[in-house]
Amino acid sequence: MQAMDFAIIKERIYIRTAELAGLPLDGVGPHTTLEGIGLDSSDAVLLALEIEELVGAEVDVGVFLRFPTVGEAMDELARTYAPLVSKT
Amino acid sequence: MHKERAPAGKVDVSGGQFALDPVAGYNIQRAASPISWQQPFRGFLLTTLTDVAQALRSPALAETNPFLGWHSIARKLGRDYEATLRLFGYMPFIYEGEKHKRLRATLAKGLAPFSDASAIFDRRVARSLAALESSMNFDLARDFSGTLFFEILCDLMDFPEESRAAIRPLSRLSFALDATLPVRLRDDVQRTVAAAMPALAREVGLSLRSGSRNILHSIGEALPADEPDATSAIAHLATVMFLMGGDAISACVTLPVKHLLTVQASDPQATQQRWATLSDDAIRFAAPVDYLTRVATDDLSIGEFPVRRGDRIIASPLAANHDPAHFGSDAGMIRDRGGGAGMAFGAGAHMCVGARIARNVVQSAYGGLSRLPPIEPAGEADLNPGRVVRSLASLPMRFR
Repeated sequence: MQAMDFAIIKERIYIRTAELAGLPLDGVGPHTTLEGIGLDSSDAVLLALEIEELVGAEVDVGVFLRFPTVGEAMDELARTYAPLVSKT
Repeated sequence: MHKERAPAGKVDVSGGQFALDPVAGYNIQRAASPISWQQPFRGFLLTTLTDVAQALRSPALAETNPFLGWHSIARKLGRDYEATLRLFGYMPFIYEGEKHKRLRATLAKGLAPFSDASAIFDRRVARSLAALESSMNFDLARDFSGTLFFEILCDLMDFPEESRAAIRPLSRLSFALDATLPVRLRDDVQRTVAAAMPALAREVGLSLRSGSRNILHSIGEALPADEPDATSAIAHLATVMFLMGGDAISACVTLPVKHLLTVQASDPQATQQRWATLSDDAIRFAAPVDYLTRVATDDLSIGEFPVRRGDRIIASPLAANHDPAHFGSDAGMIRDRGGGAGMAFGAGAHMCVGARIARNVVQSAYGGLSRLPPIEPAGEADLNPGRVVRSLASLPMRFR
C-alpha cells in the first residue's frame, strides 16, 4: 500500500461528490450533507470505492453515513487511514 | 428536526463493533432510549417488541426496496448487474401492492404442501450428521447448518446429488441484501448469479419434465397464468428460497448452539439432550434477519412516538426478541417457552412466507443435534459478511 497525500483523497472526494450530485465543484464543501444534495447510501458506496482505488485498501462505507457532513466524514477518514496517508 | 423527537443512538447499530455482539448493543440502546435516531440509516430505530410489532403491521409503513442502490451503481459505474437485478425482481418482500401479493401468493402456495415434510427434513438431517460423526472435528456452520436448507430444498426439487455443487453458491448470497455492500462484493454476487443460474434453470427444466409432483411443480402450478417464461420464473423463485433461507436457517442453528454450549455447564435447561425442545426459542434468540426498514406513507404514531410521512423506521426483530419487558429477565437465555419465535419471521403483510418450513427444518436440526454424542466448541466462530442476515461462516466443533 502506498502512502498518499490526504489532500489528494480530499480533492477526489469533493470532485466525485459533486459529480454524483450533478453540482459544480464549488457546490460541495465541508458542511455539505449527502442527503442535502440528493445522495444516498448507494452514492456512499461509490465514494468508498473512490478511496479504495486510491489507497488500495477496503474502506468502510459507513464513514459516509455515520457523519452528517462531508467534512466530518473526511476527518474520520483522515483518522482511520492515517497510517496510509499523510495529512496535509 | 429528528433530534426533537428521539435522541441520537447511544449505540451505533450499523458499526463493525456492534456486529460482534448485537444483542448487548441493542440492550444498551433499548435501556437508554427504546426509540433512537440512527444517523447511518437516516432513520428511527425501534427496539421494543411492542413497537416493532406495531410498525411491521402498520399499513402506513411501506417496505423500502433495498436493491434500488444496485440499479444506481450499475448505471453510474457502467456495471452489468442484469442477472442479479432479474433475481431481485422475484423477491416478494421488497415490493408493495399487486407485485408483492402475486409473488407472495405464488411462493406461499408452492411451499404449502411441503412445509410439514418433516420426514424428509429428518432424513437429510440424519444423513448430514452421520457424515460428521465419522470424524472427531467438524464445522457446524460449513459442514451442517450452512448447507442444510439448500440440501433439503434440492431433495424437495428431486435434484440429483451430483448436480448440486454448481448451484450451491446461490444459497450463500444473503449478504447481497446489505444496502452498503461494497462494489467488490456486488461484482462477486453478479458473477455467482450469472454462473449458477443457467445450471439451476437446466435442473429445473429436467425436474419439471420428469413429471414428479415436487416443490417445483407446485410453484409452477401456483404461477399466474400470464407468466411468460414459467421455467425461468420457477428457477428464480427457487433461488429466492435458497438465498433467503440458507444463511438465515443456518444462523438459527449456529448462533443458539454457540450460546447453549457456553452456558450448559451452569444451566441444566441448556444441556444438549434437551435441544429438541428448544428450537422455537432458538429461532427467537437468533432472529437473524434484522434492520427491517420501512418508510412512512402517512403520518402515524408508534406508541406515543409521532412518525411523519417520509420518515424511515428501522424495526429490529433481534432487539424485539430480547426485550425483557416481553420475554423477562432471562430473555438472553434459550428456554422451552412455548411462545413461538417472536418477531424472528417479521409480522404483518411482509411476514416471512417460508416461516412454517423454516420452523420445521430448524426443529428437525435440533432434534438431530440433541441425539448426537456430546459436542463442544473447538475454535473461534467467524461471521459471514452480511449484516441484514447475520450468520456464522464457521463454528468449529469436536466430539467430547
